[in-house]
Amino acid sequence: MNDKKTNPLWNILRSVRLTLILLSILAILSIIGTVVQQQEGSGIYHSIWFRLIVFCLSVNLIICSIDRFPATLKLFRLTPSPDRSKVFEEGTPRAILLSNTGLEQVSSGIQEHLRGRFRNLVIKDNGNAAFLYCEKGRYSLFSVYLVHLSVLFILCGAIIGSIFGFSAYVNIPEGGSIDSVIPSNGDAQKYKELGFSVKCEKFIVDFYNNGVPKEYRSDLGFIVNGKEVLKGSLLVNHPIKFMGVTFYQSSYGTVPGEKATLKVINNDKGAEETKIEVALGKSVILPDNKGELTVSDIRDNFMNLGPAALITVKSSEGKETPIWLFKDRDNIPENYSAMFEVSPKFNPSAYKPFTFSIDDMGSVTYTGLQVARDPGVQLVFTGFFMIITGLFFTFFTSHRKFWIKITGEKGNVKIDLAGTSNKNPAGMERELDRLLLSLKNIKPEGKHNG
Amino acid sequence: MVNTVILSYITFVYFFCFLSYLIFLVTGRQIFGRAATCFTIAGFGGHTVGIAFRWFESYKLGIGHAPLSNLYESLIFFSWAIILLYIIVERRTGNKGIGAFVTPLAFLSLAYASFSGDIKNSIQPLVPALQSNWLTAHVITCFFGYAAFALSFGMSLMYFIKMSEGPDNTGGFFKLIPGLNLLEELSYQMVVIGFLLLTLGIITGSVWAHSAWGSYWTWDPKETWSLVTWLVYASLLHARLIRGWKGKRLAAISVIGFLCVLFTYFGVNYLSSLHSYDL
Repeated sequence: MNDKKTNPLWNILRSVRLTLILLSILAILSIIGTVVQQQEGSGIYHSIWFRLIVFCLSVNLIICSIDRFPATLKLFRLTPSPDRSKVFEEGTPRAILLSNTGLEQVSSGIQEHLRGRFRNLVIKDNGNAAFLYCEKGRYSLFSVYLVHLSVLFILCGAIIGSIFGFSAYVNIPEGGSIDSVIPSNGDAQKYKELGFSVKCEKFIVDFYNNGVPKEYRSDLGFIVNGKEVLKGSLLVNHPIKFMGVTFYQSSYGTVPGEKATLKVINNDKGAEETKIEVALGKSVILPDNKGELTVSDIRDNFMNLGPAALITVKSSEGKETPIWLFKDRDNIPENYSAMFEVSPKFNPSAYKPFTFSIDDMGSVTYTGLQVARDPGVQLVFTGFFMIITGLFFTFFTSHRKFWIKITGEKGNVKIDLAGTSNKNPAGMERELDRLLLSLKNIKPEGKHNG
Repeated sequence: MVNTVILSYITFVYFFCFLSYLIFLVTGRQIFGRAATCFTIAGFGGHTVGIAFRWFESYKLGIGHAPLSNLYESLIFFSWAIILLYIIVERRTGNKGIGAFVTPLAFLSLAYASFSGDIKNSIQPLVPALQSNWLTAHVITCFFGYAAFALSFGMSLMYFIKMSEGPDNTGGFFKLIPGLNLLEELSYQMVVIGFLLLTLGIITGSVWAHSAWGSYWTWDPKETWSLVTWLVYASLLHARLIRGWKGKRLAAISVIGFLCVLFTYFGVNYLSSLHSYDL
């Protein structure tokens, strides 16, 4: 113990001044993080500096607790002697005078009254005077340790979650399924196999009159080894857990379907218009047998200009002309249009005598799911429960000790009351007043005579 | 809508409360103090009726939900919580002087809600993410916490004024500011209540985020700023309970803490956040 007291490192680590400094640094770093976040994602909170400060705070917290715990334990085990005189001199004097009664009668009446209401009643009676000690809230001495322990629980839970858990976002088109995800905290190319597959059988969205979504839900099927094991409707705020992985309804949207309806204008024939529907990868013969058109690719957002399709037109001589067609061609800004005129790859009239455009691409709704496994979450939530309980007991209960001195002479009995509390002195004064009042109302004579 | 009309009238009632408390504080005449208390209780009653009406009207629109879902409703609730806590403090301490520093906060909150052109006061249906019982628990705990911190802030300002007026308290402008010890004790009690409620608010939000978004903590600016606020008040508690800090220094931390509360509440809207209020 002596070593510890002189060790300068220990002295720094056990100081609450260090706690205050670390809390301030942590607050400042967090503030910087919210400003920098705009550009760089949540980088600062995962940086080594931030973690180092959190680590120092944990060490500080543990050492402070180790340093103070023996004293608390001593206080917890200690039962003060009932015949203290100092407490009666220090506090507000509180006394009752009773006449026509005996010391023993009063003493036993008070004991009766205190039992059940207070704990650890200790009595010392020397014939001329009776001394009573009782108390409440002794366990509240530990409540602050519960709060600090809970912080460690939460931090441990967070560490376990970040090491052994994962979190990913995935889109599943209606009717489609997935069996792996790309965790957001890892390598962007690294797939994580789920060990089962999830199928989105149906996606339903319901709107309010003002167009705001009211409810959306995915009907999911969970398939293990080709067999559907579980079916469930996934709604916002109502996640589904399957084989340790939890699925959360996060968003939804639409992607172009697997086919395109094209408008073909024949410029030779006075802009004669033909509509043809082609599935992705399939080919059709153009009007008047003037070549063969294939839909080679469909993208939901090509060059950031919205949905687009790549068509390849093969002339009868076998020459291939690839053209990208944009669905929202009319909305594309001016400065891009120049590029379309120059580059044949984007010129819808590059294959004579036709001009191509997209009439419709169809669309498929997809559901956006958050997929996560977090083995640390139970620990974190346990910590939450502990911190609330701990804070409640820390702030709203205190270790209150009461001393009662009963002295009597010639049928007149005097009761003195005093008490101390480790917290909330004003509350203690009120409790002493209440106790004094209740002691006044005890009628030991009535009990014995009646 | 009836509720917004009622609530905008309550704004003026709170302004009169503020004036009465101020006159009471300056002149020291009891009649103004009694009038202020009557105004406050009447205003609070009307405020409660306004909130109840709004709740009722949302059901009539077929999109019934507790009025705790957007910036307008949160401001209304914030000022309601401030006044409720203040009435309790006034009852328990019998001291009316604090009212002059607390009612203006409730007045400003209501005035901002009722008369700012940027704030939509119509009743909006709940988007799916908000359709959760956690919403009510989260908003109530957070805003009662904020309200307790607001009271502590008002008391800390009074503490500074009292300090500057000197210890004898006879020639000062404000005659009836409570004693330094009472202010400090009350301010500390408000911080304790606020801290417990803020902790509960962060936890309910965290548990809710876990079931809605799949993550209990994402370092979203609102979450981060609530943590900063929590750290500031945690420092205050440690400074007082362990290091024995008192008086001015503690009052200063309480002021800083409340500035953090305000930034958590309003400032974060200027940073991109999942919590951004749909103005």
